[in-house]
This record gives sequence, structure tokens and C-alpha cells, in this order.
Amino acid sequence: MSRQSEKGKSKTVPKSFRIDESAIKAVEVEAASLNVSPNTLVNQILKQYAQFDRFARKMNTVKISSAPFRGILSAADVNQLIEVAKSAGSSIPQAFATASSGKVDLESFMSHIRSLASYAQLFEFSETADMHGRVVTLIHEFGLNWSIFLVHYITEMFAQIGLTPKIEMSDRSVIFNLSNT
Amino acid sequence: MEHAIARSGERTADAIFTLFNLPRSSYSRIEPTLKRLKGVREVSVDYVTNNVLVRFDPVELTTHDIRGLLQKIG
Repeated sequence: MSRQSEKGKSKTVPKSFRIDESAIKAVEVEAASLNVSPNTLVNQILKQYAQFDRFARKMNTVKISSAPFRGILSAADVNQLIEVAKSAGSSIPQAFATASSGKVDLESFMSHIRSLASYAQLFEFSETADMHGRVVTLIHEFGLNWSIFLVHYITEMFAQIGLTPKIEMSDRSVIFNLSNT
Repeated sequence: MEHAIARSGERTADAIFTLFNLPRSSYSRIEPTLKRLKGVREVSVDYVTNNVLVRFDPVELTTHDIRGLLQKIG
């Protein structure tokens, strides 16, 4: 039996598992401190695994604190950074899209960008869409070199499907505009 | 929350905000507070990733408005 938890949210299904006692105790303590149910927390932990971690692992993804990440970026040679961004943008989004949805298209690439915001905290994401197209804004605190990296990563990613977005950037943001025409 | 592209004249907007600058004890106030804003359609707080996903009407409000309210909650 499944049920729609709330309008617009994905449906839920009842399942029964045996769980490591220390793990569920940690979840219960965390849930109590957040004033949410353990059910909510377990569901979000599983969603992170289902929607991101299991694909990221296949790409040898590592986790790094934001301070050293910012430091490495600021110390990087810009030309080499651009080469890395182009190389990554031509391969990683395709691999994510194929692994997660089986398709390489605009929606699967947009899903990849949203996942990088939701699960990797690489930027904040906002998107406005209408019948003419969409405008996507990425805001971050990693400095100018991160914006340069993102511009080349995104440009290369969309080039894989024959799209050329208009892109603007500053040291804190990257804005790209995709027209429907 | 699945993203829907506007297919008619309707404009839609989605935004994912990080909540690192907010005390985690404040997270439970985010959804009821944001839902009181005119133009907010859906709010989904993720306690694992420390993000909130907001779907809203970009004619009624901006990401700047939402970010300002999130800072007040903190």
C-alpha cells in the first residue's frame, strides 16, 4: 500500500527493516534535537543515497570541507582550472545522467546541477522558467575561480547536447539563460 | 520534489538554499514561516543535507526575499 504524503510530494510506502541499534539510536537523538520524526530523517538519508551518493561513489567523489576547498581553488592556475573544468564538464554530467535516468538530455543535466546544489552544497540554486526558456542562478562563496570553473563546466556540459546558454558571472554567482527557441 | 517546466504562460521558480548559517534548532520553523509568504507554493526542508527547496511564483517574490526571511528565522 502506498500513499501520497502531501500534495506535490512523492508517495510513501510502508517497509520493515532490521537496523543496527547504534545507527537508529543516533538517528533518534538527531531527530529529537531537530524536532522531526525519525521517519522523516530516515527517509531523507535514504533519498540522499538513492538520488546522489550511489552515483557519486561510481565517479570516485570525495568530500572536503569548504575552507580547504576555497583555498585550493584560490591557489589554482586559472588556465589549468579551465582545462580541468572542460574535461570534467564533458564527462561527469553525462555519467551522472546516464546512471541516474538512463538519458542524456536537458532535463537530466538540469537534474545533475540541482543535485550538486542539494547534495554536494557546491552552490545555492534557483531557476525561473516560463514558455520562453529558463534562467538559472548559482550563488556560492568559493570565489572567482569557482565561478570560472562553473562557467566552463556548464558550457561543456550543454555542448554535449548541442546547447549554448548565455552565461554571466561574478565572483559569487553564475547565471545561465537557456532559450526554448 | 519534481521540477515542472511552465508549458503555458505561467512562470515558475525553484530555489535551493543552504541552511548552514541557521541553528539546526530553528529548522522546524522554516516551513510554516515560508508558507505564510504570498507566492510560496511548496517548501521542503532537508534535515540531512541542510537545504531548503522552495517553489514559488517569481512574480510575487524573489530569492532575495526568501533569503532575507531565512536570515530572520536564524
